[in-house]
Amino acid sequence: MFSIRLAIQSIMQEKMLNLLSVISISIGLFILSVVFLVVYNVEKLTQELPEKFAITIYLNDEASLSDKRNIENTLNSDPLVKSIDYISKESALVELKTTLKKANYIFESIDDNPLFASFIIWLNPGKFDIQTVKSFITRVKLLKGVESIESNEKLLETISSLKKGLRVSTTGILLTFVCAMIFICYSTVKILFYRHGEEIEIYKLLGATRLFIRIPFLFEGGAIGFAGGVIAALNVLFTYYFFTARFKSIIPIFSSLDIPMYSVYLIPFVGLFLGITGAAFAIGRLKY
Amino acid sequence: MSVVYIIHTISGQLDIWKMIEFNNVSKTYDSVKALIDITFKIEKGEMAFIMGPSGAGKSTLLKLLYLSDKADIGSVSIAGFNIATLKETSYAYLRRNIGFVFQDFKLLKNKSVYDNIALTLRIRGVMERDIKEKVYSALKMVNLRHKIDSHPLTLSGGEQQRVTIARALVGEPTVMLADEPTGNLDVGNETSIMNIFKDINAKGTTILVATHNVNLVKGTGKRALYLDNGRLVKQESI
Ligand SMILES: Nc1ncnc2c1ncn2[C@@H]1O[C@H](COP(=O)(O)OP(=O)(O)O)[C@@H](O)[C@H]1O
Ligand SMILES: [Mg+2]
Repeated sequence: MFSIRLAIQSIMQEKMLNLLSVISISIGLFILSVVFLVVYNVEKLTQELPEKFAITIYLNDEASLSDKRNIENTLNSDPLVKSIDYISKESALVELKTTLKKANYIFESIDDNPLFASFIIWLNPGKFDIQTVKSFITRVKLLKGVESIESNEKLLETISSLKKGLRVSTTGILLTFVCAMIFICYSTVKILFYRHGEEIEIYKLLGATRLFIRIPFLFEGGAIGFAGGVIAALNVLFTYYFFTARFKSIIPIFSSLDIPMYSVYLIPFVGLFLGITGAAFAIGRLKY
Repeated sequence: MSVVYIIHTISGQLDIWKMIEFNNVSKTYDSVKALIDITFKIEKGEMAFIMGPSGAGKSTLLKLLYLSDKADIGSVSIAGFNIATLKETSYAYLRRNIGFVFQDFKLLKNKSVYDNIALTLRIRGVMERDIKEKVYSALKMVNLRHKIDSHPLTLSGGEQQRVTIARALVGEPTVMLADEPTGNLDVGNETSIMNIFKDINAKGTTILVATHNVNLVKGTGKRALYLDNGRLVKQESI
């Protein structure tokens, strides 16, 4: 198509300007991708947390068998709960004794079993929400026969607020960068449009429609964005392999880093979209 | 839109309307009265000259015809279109009926002669395989067949102007507008350009040439309209 050829010619003519724009876009998209991947990995790691997060419910000695049944049923019917383990007073003591094998003398003076029976609750992954966990704990606390509850509520709360902060700040960063990149494409296309003023004047005189004159600039904006995206994607891949290969053995967290391939393939298209959007703003605001 | 355009074009061809018509047209720039109460008609197939000294309003008059400016008062019509009633989105289609020739050529310097001429057709969406033949025959008309692959800046002024005429011609315009077409040329080229215009006119295209150069008009037997300080002061055939 003739419009595409025009766009290609124009890109070739304005090498420096286009190169600068492409580099800016690629840097912007690279930073965006890194931010996205950090958030993605934090989310993913914390998604797995509930599996490692257990709540222990200690039962008091007065709890009857039917109280225990009741507690067990209540827990089992809660969507938050994946599984529960029951540890009786006796097995708790046995466990303690094996743990403290070398200090067996501690138990010599004790006749009574001082330990509580307990339920250990394993939470479902994907239900990791501090509010639900909290209300779950208060609900269980009220059940008859429950002595006390032990949970890492504080840890949960810290992680939760960290994630919230991360989400807010990344949304801010994302929006800022998206706007900045659209603006870069907008300015580039506008500059190109004015630089081609004489040419466009001739096109108009020869009967070119507004669309015919503008479409090459849309292509050009899209091409700048896409090229920036391709470079950014290659950078992300390179950086990822570099870091995992280098630091996997030194810093173990790198080995569990994950990079979703679809998101890397998406980067050029995000660039394309931003470029076309910027170009559309630019040509939309032009008089002719 | 395009149906209206076709109907207009066909009726234009059928000579129902005058090719160019000015009715009591005035145009003022800031405080300068560029055109004052201009009324005249150009018949279809006619070749006519707009004469007058520099600053008389010749270029302004042509600008109103190719829609680069709008009249303040009065009505302008060309090729059957009343410009005042035309929507801005239709301008492109009207301009396809008009061929332009300017003093400064307005060629694309980074494109070959072929591409410059082909541009007229590409803008109209003509297929590449049909373009070649039309460009060849337009170049033949201006005797520049051998310069088809040259770039404009390697051509003489006279040759460049012949390229712009070919570029206008290839679109088969019903009317051609020329603003000082020989302004940058020597006498020899002047004559050859005027002869090309006469040939084109002989094939039925209406031509309006603005010039301050009386020598162009002398002995042509064509009509000349004289502008002075924005007023149409005299019309005669010379
Ligand atoms: N765009 C413009 N802005 C202000 N004044 C203009 C403009 N175009 C033309 N004029 C004035 O209008 C008058 C007629 O100009 P023009 O039509 O170019 O004359 P000509 O082509 O006969 O030499 C001149 O005084 C010129 O200065
Ligand atoms: Mg002039």
